[in-house]
Amino acid sequence: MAQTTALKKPIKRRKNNWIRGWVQLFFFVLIALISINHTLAEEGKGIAFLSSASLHALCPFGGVVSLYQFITTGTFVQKVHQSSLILMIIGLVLALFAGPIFCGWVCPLGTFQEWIAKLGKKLFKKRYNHFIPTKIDKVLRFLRYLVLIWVVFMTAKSMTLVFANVDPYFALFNFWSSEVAIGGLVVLGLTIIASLFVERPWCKYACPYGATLGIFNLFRIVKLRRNVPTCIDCKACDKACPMNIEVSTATVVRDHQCISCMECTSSAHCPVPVTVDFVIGGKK
Amino acid sequence: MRITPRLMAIFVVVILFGGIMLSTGLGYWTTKTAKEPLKFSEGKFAGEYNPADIRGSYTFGDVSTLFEIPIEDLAVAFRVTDKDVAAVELKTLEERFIDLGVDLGTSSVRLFTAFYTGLPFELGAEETLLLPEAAALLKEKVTLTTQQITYLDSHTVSEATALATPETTIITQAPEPIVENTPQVTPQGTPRAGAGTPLGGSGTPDPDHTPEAYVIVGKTTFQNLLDWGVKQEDIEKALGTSMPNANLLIKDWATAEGAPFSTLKTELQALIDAAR
Repeated sequence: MAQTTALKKPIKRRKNNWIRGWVQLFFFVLIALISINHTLAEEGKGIAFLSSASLHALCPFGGVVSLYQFITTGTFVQKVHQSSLILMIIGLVLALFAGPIFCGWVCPLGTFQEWIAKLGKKLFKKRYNHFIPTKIDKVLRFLRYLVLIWVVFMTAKSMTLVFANVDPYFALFNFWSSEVAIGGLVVLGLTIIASLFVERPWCKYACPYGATLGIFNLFRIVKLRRNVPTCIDCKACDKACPMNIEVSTATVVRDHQCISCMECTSSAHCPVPVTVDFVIGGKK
Repeated sequence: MRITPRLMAIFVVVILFGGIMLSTGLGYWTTKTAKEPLKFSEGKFAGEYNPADIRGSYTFGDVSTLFEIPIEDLAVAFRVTDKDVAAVELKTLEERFIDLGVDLGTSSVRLFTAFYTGLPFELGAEETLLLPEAAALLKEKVTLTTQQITYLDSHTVSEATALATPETTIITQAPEPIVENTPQVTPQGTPRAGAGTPLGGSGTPDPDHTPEAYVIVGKTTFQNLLDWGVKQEDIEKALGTSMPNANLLIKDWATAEGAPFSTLKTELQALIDAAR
């Protein structure tokens, strides 16, 4: 009994999930630099040691939408290149291992939304990320699968990159270019505004790539587990989750919205060691 | 085994960059489309690059190398005064000549290349124009057929237009359909059935419109298409999206959407021809 009590006592220690922020910053800066270099290269002023690839070539979702055309004709949708297919495969490998790591650690648009969220949290305190009633929110979370189906179908049908017309990721890193569709800028603007109230609104409700990767949460190799005997039910994990997942009620988190950001884990916000963790294998 | 954030970070970076490096090593990592046009598969020109497959992403340098046309001639023909002519992408042409109010773009380079090299080219596919400099250069340097000269004369932007504002645009158009006797092939290089057929549209002219009125130019709007009898659903099919504001210039829409105007124009022109 004394042992159980000791186990449930929170242990204060240095949290080490800062590394995710740095990884996110790295990818954000990298993509921003490549995008700027792409513009410079078109004017003949590109920086030699840096890639000048177009963002379409560096988007794994391009591989997803091109898949049908690639299988049926061996070609890619206009603006999409083989690199997109490679990135799609890498994204799927990562997802098979630990779920949508790409969303939580790499995607610059997700990072950008998290930065705006910091401002939203300051403005709205505890109300932040809790404006939408749970019932409505739960339904809205499946919208992104409709977006996914629509994009894949329309791309296969038209053989053009229809998603480019509304893509906020492309708009974010090309807002200075004439290549950006007005629809993309509008969606980006809405995402920025919504990010002041809801954390990662694009990811939660509209991102078709997040929808694709989210499916892997059902069978990812590395599972997010909550160790029930040591859990003190403080709900710190729930509060930390940007995607509003109730980690505190699950033994294994299989929610399709989890982005594998590790914010809920004992390495970050969970105050009890070895209680909420990503683990390989059945038991810790 | 417990995965810490540090392990996860290492995993992400290693798999991502490892995957890119591996695919680069194996030659699969390409962020650009290979700049190599399709080749003619049969006939006298088998194995030669097909100018009809020149893309907007090609640079003048690519065209010069692939088709062995001196870069200086390309610069003169398309008024490219940039320091590095070879680095200029063909897709920038439409924007460069937008003030002339005529459509000079990748299709113009295709036509010029075909005439310059003597390679087969289907003239009826697009209403393609050339600058006076290009026409003069072709007439000076290449032995053209009578039909090619006739075509050039009717598809050259007039000197007045080339120097004037969009309001004074005059395009010399052939009064009668032209018959092209050059061997005609599809982009894949297969001999095309019906070669030598009239290039112009067919059917009885509408008394309210001259034949030129049914040709998509820079000032054509989506409303024009509807007025010319093209169905909205057919337009949407060609655009791959819902109908934009009908008063929008097709060219502006293409620019905003990042779609090559020349390609879109060909598709929509086919709809007009079918509707007439």
